[in-house]
Amino acid sequence: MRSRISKIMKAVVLFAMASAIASPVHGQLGGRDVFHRDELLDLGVYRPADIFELMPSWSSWSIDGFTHRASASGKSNYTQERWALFVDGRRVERSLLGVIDLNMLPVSIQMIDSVEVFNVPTTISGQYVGDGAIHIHTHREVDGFDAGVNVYTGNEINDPGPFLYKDGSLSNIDRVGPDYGGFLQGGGGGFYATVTANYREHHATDSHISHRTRVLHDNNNHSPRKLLYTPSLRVGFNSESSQTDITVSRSTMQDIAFVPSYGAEIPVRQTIHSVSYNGSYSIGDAAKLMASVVATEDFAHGRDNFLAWDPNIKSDILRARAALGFTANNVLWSVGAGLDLFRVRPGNYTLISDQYRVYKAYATADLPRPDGTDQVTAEVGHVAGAILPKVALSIRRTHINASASFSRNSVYESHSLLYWMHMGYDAFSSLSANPSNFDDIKANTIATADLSINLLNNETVKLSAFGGFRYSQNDWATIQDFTFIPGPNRFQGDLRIVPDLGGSHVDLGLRGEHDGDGGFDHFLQGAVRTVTHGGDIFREIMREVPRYNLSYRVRYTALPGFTMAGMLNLHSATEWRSFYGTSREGTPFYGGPVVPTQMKLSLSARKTLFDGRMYASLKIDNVLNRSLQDWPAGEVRDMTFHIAVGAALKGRSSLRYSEDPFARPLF
Amino acid sequence: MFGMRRQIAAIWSSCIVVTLLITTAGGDSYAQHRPFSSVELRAALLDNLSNDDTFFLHWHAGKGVGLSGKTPFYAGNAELGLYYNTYDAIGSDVPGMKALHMFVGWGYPLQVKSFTLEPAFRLGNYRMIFNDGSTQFRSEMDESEFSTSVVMSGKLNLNRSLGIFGEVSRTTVYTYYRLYYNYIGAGVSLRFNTGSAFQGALSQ
Repeated sequence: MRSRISKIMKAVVLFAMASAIASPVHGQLGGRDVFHRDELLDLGVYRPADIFELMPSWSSWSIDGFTHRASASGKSNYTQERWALFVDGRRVERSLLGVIDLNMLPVSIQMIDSVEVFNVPTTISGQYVGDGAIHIHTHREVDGFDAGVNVYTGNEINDPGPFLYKDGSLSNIDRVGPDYGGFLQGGGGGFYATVTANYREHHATDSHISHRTRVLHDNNNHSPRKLLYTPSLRVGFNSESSQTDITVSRSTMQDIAFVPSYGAEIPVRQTIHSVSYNGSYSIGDAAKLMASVVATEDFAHGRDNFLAWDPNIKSDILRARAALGFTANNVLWSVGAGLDLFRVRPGNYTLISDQYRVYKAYATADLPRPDGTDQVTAEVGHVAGAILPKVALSIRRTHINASASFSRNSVYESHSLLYWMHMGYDAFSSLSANPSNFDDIKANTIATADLSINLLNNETVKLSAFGGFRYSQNDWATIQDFTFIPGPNRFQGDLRIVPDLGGSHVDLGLRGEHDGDGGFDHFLQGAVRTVTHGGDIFREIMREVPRYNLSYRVRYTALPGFTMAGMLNLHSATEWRSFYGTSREGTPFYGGPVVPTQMKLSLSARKTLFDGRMYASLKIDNVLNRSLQDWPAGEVRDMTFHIAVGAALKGRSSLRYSEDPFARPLF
Repeated sequence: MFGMRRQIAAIWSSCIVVTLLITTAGGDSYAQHRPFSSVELRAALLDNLSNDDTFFLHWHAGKGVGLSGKTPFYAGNAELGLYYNTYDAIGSDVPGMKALHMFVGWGYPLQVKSFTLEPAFRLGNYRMIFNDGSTQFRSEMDESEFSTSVVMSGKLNLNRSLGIFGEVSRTTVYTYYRLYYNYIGAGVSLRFNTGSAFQGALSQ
């Protein structure tokens, strides 16, 4: 395996070097990737969460093919996702169930202008982001009128079809969608407004999970499925001296949500309301004032037609930021302060957790250099009597990108919330007169270091070697899960519960890109990663997990308006188990290596019509999954077919965020 | 498992062949068949011929109708269509069903004077709507599955617009137990040229 990777890497280096001779050097993008709408659609990204497939530096898994959990380069684990999601500068919170769900956003791929992915510490809308971030920029129509619709559906082969009535052993196979989306946009004289509505449907009925979810069928005898409605309204005003943006959204999902610590799905209906304000005001020519407020209410309650279960829990989160940006001595400064408020409570009962307040202050300095930019960010937070400092340094040069960070973090953990959901109010209330004792504000320490050396960086070829290290020391023993790189499109891989008492994560890799300027575009990344867990409390535990991944994609503009693309993702991991025990499925296993391997090949084609106003796209996924032991054991292979179409009054080619963010003002 | 692998291999082979044809033959054909230069609408009566598959032990195929449209697309013709068929239950243990076959296709026309022979390949969705969903097994009232078709059609041009055609096709529906349908159909076609603005817009 190693020799193969070595050969492939050598081939990439030779190919890239041969392609780059005599090409001029231009700007670089250290620790940050940008995906534009057309690129997303060409590569078969039809739902927002599908973008994880384009990010081999991140790892993600999904039980049902809809809700994903992700980790940015090992900077956080899966159940306590610390990466941050932003849409047009506003923070999107983790849900009550602890998930940052891209597919719950009131955003369709058609509405996306571009997506920024940060793998190194940065600051977004006055918020320090140290564990990775995704920032989605949506299209705004600031001059004129536009409207559009989009439809997406997919199907995995091997459904029972009419033989459902002849063979009771056959179970339905996953069906994706149909998804419908629409938008209306208008703008003029500095004002703009956007109304969007999205509906998503997902049938997670694969036999690998149906043995758990079949008991959850509703009283209409329907298969468990996810139904999501997300309307939103965005209005704003731009003038020479100010920008104001207000967004109101509501996301309602009838869900079969997998709760890792419970190890099973629960039927739940989640309703998330969000109101945000982002504004900036120029003060003279040299300074700007920025303010941002985001209020989110998340309500989990009983699902329609499912009987005798109603968690009835609500959380409220308010984040407010204010910052001043100015230039002094050729340094772009940003100095600000913020307040975060959290509250969790059962809807109709007593308040079970006190308000959780975090006060923050931060300063960021951007130091422009002739061949790059340096950035220093410092933030100090105060929560529950504790001081939580965070410091990050990024150096970005033509041939080297380096970043280092140190952070002391807090995580609000509501055990009472989970207990409530699992056991119900009566059992919960009998435990303690003061159930808030079950809630903790936990802290940990994380240190990261990332280095990327640009071996080649010109108009057509980018080749870099990268390495990263992340160390965490947790002050608590929490239960969390871990899994090997499963595909985002299906549940694959290995899921278990292990303690995390801190550990380390190291990755080394090589990455190359070749932009064919309308012809072939190539992307190749190979990496080796090692995860070490430091604890030993439970009998089932992973100590060291070497993982390998190889990701290749090619996009080819075959004919005017006709693009074909292919993606190949290979993942393999070797785990050494220290103890023997019994898996959740009752299968005994013993210490030794477990080698799950996954190969996913996707082929897609897209045709645009009417100068980009319409598109039709087709994608075929072929997945092969192999595991030597455990769950699911053996070989799993399947094919899924996807089709997506969309239309809008205006063609979309806006690339507003393609420039290097470190060369633009902070806000 | 071996049979499944063979079928999957057949799909990929077909996709690769189609892709190669499009990419390699595109240059010459672009001049001969300007994309979207015309649209041909087709209406057909269909019959699903029974075969010895297990499916036809339990269901009897009825007649069907089909509507489709095709247009020159670089190296050949692109096609979009919707076929409708009914299936009656032979016994009382299964319900009757209706089937909607939606597909996109690509074919390469071979012209011999006023006769056009066109082999084609279709990718589609086969939606099965059951007359009675009550069953001992939990299920939706309908099922849908991916399908592929290989088609051979022959058309006789009566004049520059009108034509009559016949087609035979073999459709595979990728349910757990594969469904194989052999269709024959016959109908009329109406062809008209599109404007240059229309062609230019669709070509971008």
